[in-house]
Amino acid sequence: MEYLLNTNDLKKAYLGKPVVNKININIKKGDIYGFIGRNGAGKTTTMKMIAGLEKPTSGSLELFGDKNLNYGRSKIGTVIEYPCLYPYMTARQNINAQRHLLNMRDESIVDEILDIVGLGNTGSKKAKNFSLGMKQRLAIALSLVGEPEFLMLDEPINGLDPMGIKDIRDLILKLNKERGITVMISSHILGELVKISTRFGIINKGELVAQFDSDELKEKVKEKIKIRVNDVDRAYNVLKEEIGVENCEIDSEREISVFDCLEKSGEISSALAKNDIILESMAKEGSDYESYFIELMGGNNND
Amino acid sequence: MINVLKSDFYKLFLRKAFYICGVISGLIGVLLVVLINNEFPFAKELGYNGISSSYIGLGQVTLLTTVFLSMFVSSEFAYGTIKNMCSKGISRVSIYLSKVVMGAFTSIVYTLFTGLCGFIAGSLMWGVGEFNIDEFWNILRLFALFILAELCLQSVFIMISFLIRHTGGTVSANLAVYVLAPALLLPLLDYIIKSLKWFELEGGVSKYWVGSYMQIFSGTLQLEQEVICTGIIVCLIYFIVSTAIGIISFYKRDIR
Repeated sequence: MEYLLNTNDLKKAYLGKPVVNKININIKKGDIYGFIGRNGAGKTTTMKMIAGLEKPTSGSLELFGDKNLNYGRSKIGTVIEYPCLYPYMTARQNINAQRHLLNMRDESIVDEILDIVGLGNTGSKKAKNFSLGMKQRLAIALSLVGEPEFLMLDEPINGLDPMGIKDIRDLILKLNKERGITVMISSHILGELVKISTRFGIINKGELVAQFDSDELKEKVKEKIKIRVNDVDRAYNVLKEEIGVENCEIDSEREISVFDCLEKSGEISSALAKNDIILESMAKEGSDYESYFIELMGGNNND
Repeated sequence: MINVLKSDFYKLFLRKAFYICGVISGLIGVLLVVLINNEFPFAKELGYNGISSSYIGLGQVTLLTTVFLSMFVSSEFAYGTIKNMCSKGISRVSIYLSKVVMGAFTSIVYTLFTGLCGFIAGSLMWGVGEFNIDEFWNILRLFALFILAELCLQSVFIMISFLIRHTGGTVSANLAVYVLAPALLLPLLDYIIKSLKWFELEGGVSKYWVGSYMQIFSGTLQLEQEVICTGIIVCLIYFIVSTAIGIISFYKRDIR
């Protein structure tokens, strides 16, 4: 499998206190990787280490399967923390400054990039007079100079109105589908990330607590009946043989999750009682991405 | 490095402040001629010599160059645009050296423009006078030495800008160094050294301050060879040391 980014026990500590602790991120070519975590969880620091803005305290990383990071970074476009623009320049001039920096001689890429991000008609308007949404789009435009294969976008939809969020979402999908650009995107707006991401990484207090594909996520958050009993092995057999449950799994010594036959909760309790299995509790769960992510991020109390 | 330079020149020429400071430096050149004309009525009799004396005020332009460069360098950190460069795998040494070249370029442009404006104003007020080849070479030497001292001093300011990374703080610190060093710091250091019975510094601390040589080089057309040599060595040491510190610091420190 072709991994575009691999981090190996990547760690960053300030004054001995780890803010990113031995994380191992794997991003495949073509992924849209949703990087989720609370404020201060370590998302930006991780992205900065990947971009070469901060040096890891320990650990290593590979870009495009290569440990020569300068070469890999030349194929990355980044927007980290906030749109980094020259406010006294127009959108075109900002892109030109970046074009000179990356020795892109073909001036036609400026119009092409401006059209992609929808800023083709901003004319002589200076970047300082742009709305936040326009600034975000211009920052993405700058990151596209140099034909990157990998985009890292840190909170690109922060502070945007719903239309602005939709514009950025559509732009990311377009870049991913039409140009095959792999994207790593961090955000607090979980609903938006779920809409576009094909893979997720959850970071909590500097540690990568989970990493999974969107299919796995769907599997994890789908509706289920959570049953708590005194004998899970016997209960498992009863569910399979007497109720006809096909999809269920033992979660712990006393808990089973049932993913189908959700309408048969009455039958389940009778069957368990008939087999002398003590049913301690039974509840419907799932169907909520947000709750699942929050649970992974340490729940509501995470001090 | 060439690409970073191209991009930096592009940004430099798009900055209004570059032109505003340029116009002010030209005005300084003209004002100095007017001032000399009022203070020294005999300047008119000197013709070309009189005009050359107007270059004595070249040091005033350093203030403008310092303010402009402090803003130009530190704004890369303030706008966050330094991230756009570093995250592309461009060598930090190239990024730093490109700013040093920008400093040298700005110093040369402002100094020559001030000199040119002073020359034009002096010619109009006093006439060109008789052309004297020795005088001409002396003026060229004055400009060359002054620019050398100026860009070595600017390399110190660029280092400070990379260390502080904050526009307001950088401008304040650089102005403080430029203005307060000769007025407060050097006399204080002189006093401390004099109080040390076991250590003696020939010529005082100011002999080893790069700013002193800007004044010396622009102060007179008649310079002793020894002063010129000492000045060049002191200036180059400042340039090498400050550039080395700046590069190491920029290379080692994270960009937050």
